[in-house]
Amino acid sequence: MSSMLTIALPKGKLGLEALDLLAKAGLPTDGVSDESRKLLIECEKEQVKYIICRPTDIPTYVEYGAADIGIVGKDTIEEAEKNLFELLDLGFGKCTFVLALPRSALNSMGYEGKRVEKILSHFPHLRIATKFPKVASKYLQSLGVQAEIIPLHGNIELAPLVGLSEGIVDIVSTGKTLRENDLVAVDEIFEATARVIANRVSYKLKYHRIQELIGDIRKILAEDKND
Amino acid sequence: MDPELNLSTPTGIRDWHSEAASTKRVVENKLANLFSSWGYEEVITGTIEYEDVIGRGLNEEEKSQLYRFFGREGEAFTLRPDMTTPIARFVASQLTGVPLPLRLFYTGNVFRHEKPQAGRYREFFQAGIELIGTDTGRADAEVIILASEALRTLGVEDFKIGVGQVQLLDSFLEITCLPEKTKNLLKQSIADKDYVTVNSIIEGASLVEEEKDLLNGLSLVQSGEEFFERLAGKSLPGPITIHLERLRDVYDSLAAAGLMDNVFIDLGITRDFEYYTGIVFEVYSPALGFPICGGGRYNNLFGRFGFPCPATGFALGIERILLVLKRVGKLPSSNSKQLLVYGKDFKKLLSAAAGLRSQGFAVEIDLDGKSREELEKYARAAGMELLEVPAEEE
Repeated sequence: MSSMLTIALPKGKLGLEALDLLAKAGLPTDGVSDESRKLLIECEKEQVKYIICRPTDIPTYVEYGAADIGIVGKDTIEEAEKNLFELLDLGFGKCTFVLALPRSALNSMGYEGKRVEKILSHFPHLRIATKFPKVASKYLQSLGVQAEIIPLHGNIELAPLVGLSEGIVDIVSTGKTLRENDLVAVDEIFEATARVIANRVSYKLKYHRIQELIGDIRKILAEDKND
Repeated sequence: MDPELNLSTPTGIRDWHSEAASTKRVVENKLANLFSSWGYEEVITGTIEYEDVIGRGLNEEEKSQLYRFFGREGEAFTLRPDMTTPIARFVASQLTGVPLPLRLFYTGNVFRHEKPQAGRYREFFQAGIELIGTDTGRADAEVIILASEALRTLGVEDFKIGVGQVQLLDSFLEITCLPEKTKNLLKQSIADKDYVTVNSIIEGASLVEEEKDLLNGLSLVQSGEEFFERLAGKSLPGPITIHLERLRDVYDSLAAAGLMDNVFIDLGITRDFEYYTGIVFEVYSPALGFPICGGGRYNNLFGRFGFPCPATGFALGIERILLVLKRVGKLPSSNSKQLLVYGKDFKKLLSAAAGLRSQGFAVEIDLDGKSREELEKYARAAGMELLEVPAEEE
């Protein structure tokens, strides 16, 4: 049985934080970097392999078993709706899913203190632009609100400004982008942090190694908390 | 192909042809021979069943995945979603008088209208067994041992077997005194290996540290040794002791069969169907991201068909087995060499072909009087060798 452990890591800031954590947990991370163009790094001696890919692809790599485990945001996991095991909440990479509307539209209806369903009922035909169509439709369904979901790939905050949609569902970390575009978060949907996910079969075949790694990471996270 | 004609198949329904079809047949035959050699008799039930009859074995979610349609008299029909329920229906209606235990095996297609997802078809093939009328640890062990034999017979040596006991987790959750809703969420989270939720529920529960440790420990996948070590010396309520003893018994029997290194304990295995009542198991191969085989004890299903009787069994997923065989390079191939014979004298052609077939060749005869060039092209495309049968003896 192959004893190689394949780990999928996202490009970008989250990936760097994840690498930092894995290094502390004693895994080899030399030569693994976001900067290099290498997408596949194998550490023969330590029996570890890294796949560097787009965050949104990580659940797919892990679901099909191309990677045994992966590190990715809960936002991406929720949107992917894949069959995965979720082993650990890493606590970093925190962001919040919000429903946001333009301040001008809100002011004209006097929204302060109103329930979100009430606010949305002001629009005869509601269109919501988002990078997360599944999260957005689940959320709107839970409110009992009929809306047209407009999937976009980036710069969601632009949509209401140019009349493409009435509002947006997006993730925010500081809220700066919303403020700059004069959008107001009227509801928080849920908070997302980075998670360790595992392939359903890999986890069962390599449970010793994976559980040990999870235990080590858990210890490091606890120590960081106490510092 | 005429673009005006819709020639597609429904989502999740595939065609089998050529090598795919022949390897499937070889695999099914090997399995059938193995099951027969263990004393299991073949059973073939109909593809179509009455919905209310099959529905007796299923919960609401399982019912929602049925393919349903109406007969000409307005009867509600369904395509079988598994083989175990139709076999229970068959045994309860026709074999109640036979001496037990009864050993049955099957190969066949089943239908589930599932959300299309990785590695799943809506019509898929299974081969499996049912061991009916015995409720012992040895019976639980026999089906697991036979499942491993089945894989070895096909050339799969590298596999792991996860063993669980569906009532054991319930009994442990019972002593936590958590509200019903939280208990169900915890159970589901252990099954889904959503350890973020598992840990937050256990942390938030009003339990003493030792109980938290125990629950956290039990929610993990672990070797039999670790598992029984964890519970050694603990005083546990009666029902837990009974389920634990059975699990221990099965584990020891599997060790006796030389499967110790293949087996791990996972109380989170709950399987697809809610009719399972005791020992359950799943088999995994590193070559595939999904279980290739699963089964377990279902002591209440026959009762729902008016014939209360303990039973256990398993099903192998044929498509998944074929994928594993392909990936580990163990796909059975037809070794017989293929020949295309041609010639002017049809009688001579027939007898030459018959002679070659008796030597083990697969022989096609040219029926169209094609030119040598055309024949070469055709033979090359099909991977056959070309052989001329002269009309006249020299």
